[in-house]
Amino acid sequence: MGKKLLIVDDSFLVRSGLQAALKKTGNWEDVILAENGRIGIDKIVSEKPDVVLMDVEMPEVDGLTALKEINAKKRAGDIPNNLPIVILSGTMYENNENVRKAKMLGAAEVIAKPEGKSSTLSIKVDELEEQVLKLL
Amino acid sequence: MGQDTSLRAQFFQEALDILSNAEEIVLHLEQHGTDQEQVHSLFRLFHTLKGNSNMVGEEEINALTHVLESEYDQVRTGKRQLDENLLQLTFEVIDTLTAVAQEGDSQDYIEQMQTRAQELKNISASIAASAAETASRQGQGQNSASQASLSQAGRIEKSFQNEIEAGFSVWKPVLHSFFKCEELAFRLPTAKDELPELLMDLGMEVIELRSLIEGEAADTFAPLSRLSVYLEKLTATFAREQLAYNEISYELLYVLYDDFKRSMWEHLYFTGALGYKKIVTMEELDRIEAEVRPGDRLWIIELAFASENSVRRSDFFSRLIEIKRGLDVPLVFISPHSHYYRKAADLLSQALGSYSQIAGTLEEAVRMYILSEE
Repeated sequence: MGKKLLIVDDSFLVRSGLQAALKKTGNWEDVILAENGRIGIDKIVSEKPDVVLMDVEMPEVDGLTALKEINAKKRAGDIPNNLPIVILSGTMYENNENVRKAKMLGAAEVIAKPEGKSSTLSIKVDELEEQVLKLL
Repeated sequence: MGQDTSLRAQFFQEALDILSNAEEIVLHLEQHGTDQEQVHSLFRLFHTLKGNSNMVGEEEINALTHVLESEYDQVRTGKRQLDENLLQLTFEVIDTLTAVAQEGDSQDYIEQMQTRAQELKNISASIAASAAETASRQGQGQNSASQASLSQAGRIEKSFQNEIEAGFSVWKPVLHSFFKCEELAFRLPTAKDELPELLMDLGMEVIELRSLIEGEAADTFAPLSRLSVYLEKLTATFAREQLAYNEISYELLYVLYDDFKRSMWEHLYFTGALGYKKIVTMEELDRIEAEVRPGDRLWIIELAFASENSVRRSDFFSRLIEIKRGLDVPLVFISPHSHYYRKAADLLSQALGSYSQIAGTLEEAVRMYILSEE
């Protein structure tokens, strides 16, 4: 049961780090990448991922703007209605404006960005993956 | 006459609002002692009531509010202290006037109002007498002392003005955001295909509003904080469920907006962040020219030409147009009294060009001003 995951993040480190970590778990048939919201939306349409992990702060088209566009495309039928968009947030403080906005815009989940030393990073990636898999 | 009756009814209606605001302030003063801002607001309220009563020919109300106004003018300019006597009497006057306004007729209260006015004059006279005694004991220093207190009064007024400006500028982003939310929310029932997008836009704006309220000036906006959280939560539910118009849920949303708005205006008035003046005579109009500075934030002019001693409408308008041409400030006109004035204001607005706007109430005027600043 191969699932396809799309990571949208402007940071090369986060993108490639997450990709490498998630590829190792064997739960994904493919982990594809996009470096901003614009490219992310294009890849959602062309590559048809099963789930999307998306950063908030990005150049050109940021995560919240992309969410709005994705919503519009879902309504238009260009993107499947049940595609879960998971927002990766730097801060997980519940009252954070971006967290609240992402939820208002229909994000399936807002998850803390895994960061830290390589020794603890793999644990955080596991937790993240567990949360993402629940959505599928 | 028909128009007369409706003007009077409006006068009493407005009087009730003014008196209830005044009562709140007196309560506050009683509990917290002298507070320049509050005293000034109180002075302004009695001043407005005095002017209004003159317009509808309510002589006794006019006389009574005139005495009150001068008392609080004295307090405001530091010429006398605010004491329990005055506060107590003010309560009683407010009670009497509220009864009159509720009745919509002053006939049965004339004697009572005269007594109250006399009582106010009495305490004022006794204070003046003791002040004169002190002054005469001080002898020669009297002249320069009274001059010093005059210039100090000027300073107090100036600094008060600055506080109002500062107060209002803190409110501006909140007002702006709220008005945008309100506008979006009231478009929901008729939105069809654009409903999802409208809900998202509203959701984003409501979050902005809450962030502003919980932001730097959180203390100022504390009374609005809970309402802003409710607004956000309800909007989030609407957005999640993509709730199309249905009476019950929308009713709830609009009740929240109403509560928010009421709370907001109360605090704007109560903290004195929103002030306005009424121009009745030509001299007052002339004073505008001297007072307005380029870049001033807002000048609201209430058009009211009811009493015989006010200026001729055409003179007033041509003078106003003259003033406006010389000064590059946005004007918002308020003409709440009747359809007739509204029409006059409309014409005036055309003569003045695109800057000017017509509003029916002070709230509406502020709303137009804030939204025009985008």
